[in-house]
Amino acid sequence: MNPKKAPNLSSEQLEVGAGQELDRILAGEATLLPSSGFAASVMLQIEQQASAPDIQGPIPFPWRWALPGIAALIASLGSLLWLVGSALRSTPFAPPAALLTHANLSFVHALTLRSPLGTAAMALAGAWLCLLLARRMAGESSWL
Amino acid sequence: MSSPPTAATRAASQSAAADLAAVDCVLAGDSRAFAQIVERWQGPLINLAWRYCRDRGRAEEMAQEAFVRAWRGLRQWRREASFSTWLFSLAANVYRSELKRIPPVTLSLDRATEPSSPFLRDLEMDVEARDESVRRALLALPEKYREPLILFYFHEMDISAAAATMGIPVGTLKARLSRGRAVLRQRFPHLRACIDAPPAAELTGKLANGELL
Repeated sequence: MNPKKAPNLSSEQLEVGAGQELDRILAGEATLLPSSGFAASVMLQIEQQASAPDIQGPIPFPWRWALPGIAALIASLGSLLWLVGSALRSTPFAPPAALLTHANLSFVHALTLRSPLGTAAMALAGAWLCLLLARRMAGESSWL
Repeated sequence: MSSPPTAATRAASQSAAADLAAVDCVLAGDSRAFAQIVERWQGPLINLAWRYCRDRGRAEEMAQEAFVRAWRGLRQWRREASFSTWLFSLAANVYRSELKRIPPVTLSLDRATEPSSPFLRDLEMDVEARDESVRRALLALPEKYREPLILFYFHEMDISAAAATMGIPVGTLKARLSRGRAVLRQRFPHLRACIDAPPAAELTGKLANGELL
């Protein structure tokens, strides 16, 4: 490109020339040289990562902390079944629809199964257990 | 009839073979072999990062992060494209993410310096400063147009290399380049004006002789 003299250029020619000028500016940029310690710094970081334990593999399932939770779940299911079973035994000849009425259940069973207090207490206990297990899995040793 | 390989072609082919050998060594467990890759590509990666942020310190930090990511993800190179294409593409992704996290300090396009008079521009501002203002204005473009321009000029105006680095079709890249260049030309009318203006040396001579006074 010779930008010296170009009188009476059309707008299209000017656009082409401007594009060439833009090319000259953006393509003709000076090259930076890396600083002297750059490669060493990169390799140091890579060596550190290479010697660190591999954290990219799958995280093993924490059976140690999960087992108590699973055992608690099984125990609570067992207690619930036992509760229902004992309620059934206490009313041997009652039709199924009448099993959970106040008349056919003992006071304790009725309180446990029908009252919102029992359900709320079980939910609170479950939530507390979940929180406890989560904290222990996260490595916190305190018991709240 | 095929032409004999040029020096550049031979150098590129040797570099590709050396990259391949180094990658194989690294994958075999010799992480020190990665030093060859760093030595070979540190210049281009730092220069590419510089074009993204125009801050030397940050360019080196971003290039270092790109090398570490390349080392970690070396197994993901499928060897369908050349190693350099994969490396530049990865680096461009790293730079893009880094600049989204902490954007570079740029002037808005409206505040980019423009000489008051095209005929006196080289007297007010030397050519390098004027060119630098255009380069900095490039950073103020929307990302959609900025990155194609950066990669196009980084790859010495090789459209297919820039498109491969961005992972977009050549046609899309051409359209974005055209739009980005049009925005810059609108913002810098002196790019048009300098076509029919006398060069700086001539102006300076006339000024010295008192012809312009």
